[in-house]
Amino acid sequence: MLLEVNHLAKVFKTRFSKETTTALRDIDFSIETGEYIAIMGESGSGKTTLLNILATLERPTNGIVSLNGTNITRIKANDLAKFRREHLGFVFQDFNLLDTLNVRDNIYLPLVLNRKPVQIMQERLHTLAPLLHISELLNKQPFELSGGQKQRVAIARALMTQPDLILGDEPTAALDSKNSDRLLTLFEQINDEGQTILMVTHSSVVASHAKRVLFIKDGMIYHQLYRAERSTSEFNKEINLAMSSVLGGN
Amino acid sequence: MFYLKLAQRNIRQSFKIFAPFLLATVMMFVLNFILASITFSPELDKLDIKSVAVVLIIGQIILIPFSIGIEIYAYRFLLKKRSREFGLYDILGLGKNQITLVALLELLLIWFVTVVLGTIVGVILSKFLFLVFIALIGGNYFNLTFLSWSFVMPTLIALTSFVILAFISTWALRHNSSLTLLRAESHGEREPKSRSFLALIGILLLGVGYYLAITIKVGTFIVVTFAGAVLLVIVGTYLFYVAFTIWYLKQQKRGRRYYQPEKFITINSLLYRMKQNVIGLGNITILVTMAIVTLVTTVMLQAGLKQNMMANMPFTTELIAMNTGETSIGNVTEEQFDRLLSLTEKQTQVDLKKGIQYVDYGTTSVKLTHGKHVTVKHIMSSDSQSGVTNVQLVSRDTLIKLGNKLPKLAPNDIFIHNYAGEFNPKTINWFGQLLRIKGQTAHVKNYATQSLVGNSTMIVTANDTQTKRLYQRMTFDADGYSIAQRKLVIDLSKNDNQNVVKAFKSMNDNTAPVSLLVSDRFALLKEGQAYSGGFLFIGFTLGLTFIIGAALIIYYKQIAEGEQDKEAFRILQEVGLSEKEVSQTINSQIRLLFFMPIVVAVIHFAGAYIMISKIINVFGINNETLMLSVSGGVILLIVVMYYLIYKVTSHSYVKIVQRHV
Repeated sequence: MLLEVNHLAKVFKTRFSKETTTALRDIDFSIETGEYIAIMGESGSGKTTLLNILATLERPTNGIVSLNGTNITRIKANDLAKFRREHLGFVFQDFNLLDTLNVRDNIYLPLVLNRKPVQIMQERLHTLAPLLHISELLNKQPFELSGGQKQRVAIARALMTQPDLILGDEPTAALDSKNSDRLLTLFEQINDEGQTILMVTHSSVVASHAKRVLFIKDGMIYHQLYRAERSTSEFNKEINLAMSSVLGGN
Repeated sequence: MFYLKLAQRNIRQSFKIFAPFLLATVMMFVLNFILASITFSPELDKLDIKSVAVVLIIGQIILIPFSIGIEIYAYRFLLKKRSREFGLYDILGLGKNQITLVALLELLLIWFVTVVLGTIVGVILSKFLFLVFIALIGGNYFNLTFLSWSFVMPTLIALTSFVILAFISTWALRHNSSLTLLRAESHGEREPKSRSFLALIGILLLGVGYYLAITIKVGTFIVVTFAGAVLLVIVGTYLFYVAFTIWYLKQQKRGRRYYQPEKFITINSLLYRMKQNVIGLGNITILVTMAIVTLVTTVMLQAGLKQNMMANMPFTTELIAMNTGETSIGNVTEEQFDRLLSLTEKQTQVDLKKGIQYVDYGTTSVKLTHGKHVTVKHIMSSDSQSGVTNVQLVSRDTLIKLGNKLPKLAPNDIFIHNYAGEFNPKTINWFGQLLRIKGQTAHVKNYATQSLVGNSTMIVTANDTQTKRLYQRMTFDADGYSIAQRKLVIDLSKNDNQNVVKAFKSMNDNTAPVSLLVSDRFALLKEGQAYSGGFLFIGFTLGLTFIIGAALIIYYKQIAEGEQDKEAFRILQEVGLSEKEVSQTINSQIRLLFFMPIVVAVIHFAGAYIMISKIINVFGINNETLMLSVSGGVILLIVVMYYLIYKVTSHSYVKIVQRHV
């Protein structure tokens, strides 16, 4: 088992009042290597909090998250950054590229932080760039790129470390439908090559590209669906159906 | 009215964004105010020293464009932060004209606040500085009074810069569509190209500036040359920074160690902001240089004036008698003088036997030509013409009485002692008397030196009779000689000095045609201190002004960059940079920016060193060791202050940037 989440809970306290907000109540699920999982929920369902905890950007109030047998909620604050850059890859909604670096250096960044030799960086980029169609962009600055190009660069950056798990936070939210489709196909390709992916989204179209969808509401996982051999459009219909019946809308 | 209210509300609501801009405008106003109030202070004339005026004028020349520059920088930062808001207004249906109006009204309001706040702070701060100063120095010779110009000048400067700002904001709002306004914040600079041409010009300008400074000659053009050199070095500095830093960073990028976390991030973020950095670094460098120059000059003047006074008055007390009546009467005789001294002794019960008595034939300005054989026939009326040397006639007897050791001389032989200049002929025809020069004396002690303006030389004769003869030759043939004085020099305690001086002077009424004079080191020092105290006040205020200016830029740089880097460091931390690594990166970035201006400023100062020592030499201060140690001390002080400023301001940077996970 690559990732195991047991009885995860997160309660937020505001600093000056005694009011508390429960973002996650009791979350349980696990992921095996090579899976492609989408976590679906409305805004306020707790999906972003869940992602932040998996990303070690936030600590849970209760529960255990273990990646490859390591309980990541117990990692010391000083070691967190190292853990992140060695085991996790991130694809964010707003790309999070550094304006100060050109595309190549943005992609190299995690490996530079890991103090890997330049040769390895070059080799990995050499295999990744054609796959992501970014070979021509390497010498540009981020502000010269379109949204779709930026996100492909961000994916390249996430893949450079060959992470155990890629975490995506609404990776297509800032893209138009054409670029969005292209990107989702790309994720499927990457997954086919064996990369484990977990992303959170509120869009059934995005979720329909995953192999498994978990539904989250009010801080709990309510339901899950497997895509199996269905096409994305069939799967999309079923997700929508599940959304209205299980999550109930209004 | 609606728009005025909107403008008002904008400022109040986004005060956090407006605050640094307001801080910049108020600070610049205060600095301009302090400088103007010193420059226009009517008391300044009392000091009657040109270099103060020069320093003030140069200070003003630099401060005005500088303050306008920094306000533009601060405003553009503000505009960038607010363009999203303006874009939103545009999309919501407020026309470009109305938005411009709001922006202009905001500027008007801020200008008003700046003038009011700046005046209050300026008056309080300058008065406070002045009080501190008086407390430190004791008496005061210079008094700080505010004329209307001290208020009008900074207000006008602020108005000028705000008018420029108004143009900038109008232009920015007109020439950007609402969409670009909305996105303006995320727009970056293109990576700068290397500029070897600029580097060449920069180095050339610096070279010429340094050359002017090093070869400067005392004369009518000294001010113009000085200002020219300063200007060249300023422009050269900016060009140097543009070219050199970009070259350096590019070089680093090519290097093998580029792909290391600390370097990787630092080099790129420095390159990314190079244009901004260049201006900031240039400004800081110039202000720090100005501060060093100002402080060294004033401290040297203060220390040097005191030292000069000691050289001019080797003994605490001089009692002087001279015949101011008919020239035919001749000098006061030894018997007459002794009688006066014993009367003084009787009256004060102070023993004056220890004192040394001699005749001082004064100082004469003559033209000494170059060559082996020099003829002197005329006394010059002024010592400020070129080629004129001030000559003292002193007998070997007198110098030996004062504790000097000199070999014997034949009647018509003399020694030459040069205070300044290199006068060394074989013979002199002194108003018809031929004198043979037997050599130079290296050092003369206890004889009151004259003012060291221009060249000055002492002629040491064989004995008193010979000196008297040379003096008489001169008085027969020429006009404008100084009257010979009979003198008693003695070291007394402060108390004895006071009594003796009082008693001796009181006899003056019944000794005509003989006049009695005294020189009293205690009184002179006190007066001199009050006098140079005014200098010190001006110097330190100016120095402080420059330091505050530099501090302001550093602060502004830090918060502006903090805002820009916030996002970058958030991303870095999410990608996997630990908090420790973040602070390491920040520190290495800060260190480079910290050291560069101070190093360049010290180099600039080194270039100005000769120029400064020549300028203070005009005031008769000529002490290499003192100058070196004063320079060292001032540089150390400034480095310490600069470091503290950096520590405090970089804290505000780190606070903005760091996010705790």
